[in-house]
Amino acid sequence: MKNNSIKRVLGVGVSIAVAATLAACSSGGGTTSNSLAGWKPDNSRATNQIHVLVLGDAAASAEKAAAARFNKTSKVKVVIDTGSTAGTEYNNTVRSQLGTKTGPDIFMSWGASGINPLVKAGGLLPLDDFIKADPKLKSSFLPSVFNGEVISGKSYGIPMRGVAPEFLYYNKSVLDTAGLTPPKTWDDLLSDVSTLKAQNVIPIALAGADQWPGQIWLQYLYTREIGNAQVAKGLAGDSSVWTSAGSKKALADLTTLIKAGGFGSNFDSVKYGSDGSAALLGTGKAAFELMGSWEYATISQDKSNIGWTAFPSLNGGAGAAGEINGNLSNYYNVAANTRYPNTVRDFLKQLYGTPFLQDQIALGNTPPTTDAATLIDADTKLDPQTKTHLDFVVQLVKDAPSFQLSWDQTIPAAQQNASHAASAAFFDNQNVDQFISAQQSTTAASN
Amino acid sequence: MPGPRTAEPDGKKRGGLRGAGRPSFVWSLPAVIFFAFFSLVPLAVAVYLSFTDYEGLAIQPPVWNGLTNWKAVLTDPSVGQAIFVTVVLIVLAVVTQVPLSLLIGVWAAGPQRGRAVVVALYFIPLLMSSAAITVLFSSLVDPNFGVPATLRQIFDLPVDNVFSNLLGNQWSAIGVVAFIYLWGASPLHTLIYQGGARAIPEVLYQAAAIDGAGRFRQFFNITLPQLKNTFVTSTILMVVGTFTSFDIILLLTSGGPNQGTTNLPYLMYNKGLSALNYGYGSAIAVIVIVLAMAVSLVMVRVTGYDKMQGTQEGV
Repeated sequence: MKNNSIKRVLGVGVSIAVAATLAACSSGGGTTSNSLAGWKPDNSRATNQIHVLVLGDAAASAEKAAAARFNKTSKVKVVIDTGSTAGTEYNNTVRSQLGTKTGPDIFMSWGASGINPLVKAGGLLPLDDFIKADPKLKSSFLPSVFNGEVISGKSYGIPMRGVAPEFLYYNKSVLDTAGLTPPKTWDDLLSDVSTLKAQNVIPIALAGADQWPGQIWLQYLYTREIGNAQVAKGLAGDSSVWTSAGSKKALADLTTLIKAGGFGSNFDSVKYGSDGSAALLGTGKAAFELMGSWEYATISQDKSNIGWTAFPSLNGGAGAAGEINGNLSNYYNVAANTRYPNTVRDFLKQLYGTPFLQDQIALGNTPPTTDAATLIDADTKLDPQTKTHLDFVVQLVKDAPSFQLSWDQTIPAAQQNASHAASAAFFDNQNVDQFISAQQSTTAASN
Repeated sequence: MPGPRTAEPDGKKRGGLRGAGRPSFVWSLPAVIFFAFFSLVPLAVAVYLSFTDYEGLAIQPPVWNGLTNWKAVLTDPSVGQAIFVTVVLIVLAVVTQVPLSLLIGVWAAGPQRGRAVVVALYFIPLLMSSAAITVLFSSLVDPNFGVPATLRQIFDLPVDNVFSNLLGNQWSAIGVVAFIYLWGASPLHTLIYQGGARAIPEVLYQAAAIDGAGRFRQFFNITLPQLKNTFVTSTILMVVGTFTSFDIILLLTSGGPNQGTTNLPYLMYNKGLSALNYGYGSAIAVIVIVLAMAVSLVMVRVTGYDKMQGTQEGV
C-alpha cells in the first residue's frame, strides 16, 4: 500500500514533467502564414484573452482603468498581470517569460537599449503594420519620445506614462532668505553656492548613496559643454568624445562645483526619496536639487515652497541653449507570439485616448502626446501649482532643440551598474582619467 | 561497523514489525527529493550556466562558451575585493555576535521571572523582516534627519564629525552593516545559547559550589566547556549566514561607497541579475558555494564537531 502510493506520487511527478516538456516543445512551433511582419502566433496561448504585464507601482492604476474600459466592448479580454514594483525585477520577469505561452502579450520598457536584446532574439513584434492601420498610434506622440524605441527604422514601442525631463528644483524661501534669485548661468550657480554656504545651508542636495543622481550633473555639464549630438555619439561608442577637450572641460566644471562644497560633505550617506535628498530640499536644509520631474511628486513637504528652472546656461560651451536630458517615457511593447494582434492594436489605441491621458495627468505625469498642454489646461481637478509644474515640463520639452535620454538608459542594460559606479566615483575622487576610461568601457559595448 | 543482525548475540529475530526499528531508505525520500529538487538541481544549473553566455531570455537559450566566464571572474579585481569584504563581515559577525549572544543567552537561561520579560523584548528583531529593519536603519543613519543630526544638535558637534557620513566611507559603512546584522541576528544565537545553557545539569554547579567555585569560576570551568557544541552550531550558522548575506547591503548601501560594501552575494546579484550576465553571475555563485562549503567543513573538522562527542560523559 505504502509503496503503491509512493509510485503514484512519482508517477504524477513524471507526468507533470512530461506534460511540461511537451508544452515547451509545442510552443516553439507556430503558423507561418500571416499578414503581419514579424508575427509568430502561438496558438497554444489562452483563448480570448491577452495579458498585459504592468509595473506594479501606483501609476499602474491608469493602465488598469484603460483595460477595464476596453474590456466593456471587446470580445477578447485584456488581463492585467501585476509585476514587481522595481525595474530590475520587472525586467527579469519580462525576459524569463517573453516568448513562452504564458508570457505577456504586452509589457513595458524604458527605451531602446532595454529592448535591443529582445529585438535581436526576434521576441518583439514590429508595430509598423499597426501604425499603417492607425496612424494616430504614432502621430499622437511627441516625435522625440516616439523615436526612443525606433530601432533600425522599425517602431517597437508606443509611449505611455509620463515624459520626465531633468531640471533644477529649488526651495523658494531658502533663496529668498539668502537674497538670491534662481540661477540663469553656471557662474550664477557657483556664486549662489558660496552665498548659501555662508548661511549654513547645503547648497545642493545630492543623493550620493544611490549613485545615479550624481550622473544627472555629469549629463548636463556634458550637454552644455559639448552638446547632445556629441554626447549621443559618445554613448554610441565613439571613445574620442570622452577624451575630447570639451569632455575634460565638463569634468573640470563639475570638479569646481564639488570642491566649492556645492553638495555639502556627506552626500555619500544621503539616499534619494521623500525622507532623503528630496526632504533636504522640501525642508529647506538644502537650496537646490537637480532631478527628474518625478521630484515634484516625491517631495512630501509644502510644495508651495518649491520652485523650478531649466539647467543654467554655460558661457563658452558648445551645446545649444535649451538642450535637455532626462527620461523620455515608458513604452508598451508587444510580444511576437501574441495570439490576438488585432486586439493588442485596439488596446494600444487607449494610450492616446483622452481618458487614459487624463488619468496620467491626475497621477502627476506629463503625457508624451502632442495634445498634453491642452489637456493639462483643460483639467479642472488639478491644483494651480501642480498645473504650473506640468505646464513647465511640457514647455521645456517642446522648446528643447534636443532631448538626450539619461545615460544609464542609453547604454546597454548590462553596463548600467558600472556606469552608475563610475559617476559616483567621480564625485568622490574627481579623478578625470579614471572617469574617462570608465566611461569609454561602459559605452564601448554599444558598438 | 557491525550490522544489526550480529548485534544480537543469539541471532534470534525480534518480535514486532519487520524493519520497524530501522527505517528504510524510503522514509527519507521526501527529504531527499526536496533537497535534490531545491538544492542539488539549482546547484547543477548554476554550475552549467557558469560555462555559458546567457542573458536571461527565455527565447534565447544559454550558449556554451567554455571557460570565458571563469577566466574573467578569476582576473576580476572586484571579486577579490568582494571576498575581502565578505571575510571582514564574517569576522565582525563572529567577534561581536558570539560574546553578546553567549552572555545574554547564559543570563537568560536563569530561572528568574523578570528575565523572561526582558528576553521576550530582546527577541523582537527576530520577528521583523530584515528589509523593514534595513529601511528603518537607513533613516536612522541619515546625516541630515537621522541620529547623526540629533547628536550634532545635542552635543553641538561640528558639521563634519565621525557620525556625519556613516555610509560615505568603506569602514564606517561596513560597521553599520555589521551592526544591523548584530542587532537582527544575535537574538537567534542568544536563543541557541539559552537552550544550551538550560541543558547543563544543575548537579555540576552544585558540585562546583561545594568545591568552593565562585560565579566566574563556574562560568569558565562549567558553562563554557558545556556549551562547546552549542558554540560550534551557532558559529557555523553565523558564518554561513553572513557568507550569503545580501538584503541589508542591497537596501542600505547598494554595495557602495565605491564597492566598499560589495560582498560576494551582492556582487553576484550585481553582475548576474542586475547586469543580465547570468553566466558570469553563476560563476560567482559557484565560488560562494565552494567557499562556504569549504569554510563550514573546516570548522566542523577543526572543532571536532563531526566526532559527535557529548559534553556530559560521566555525568
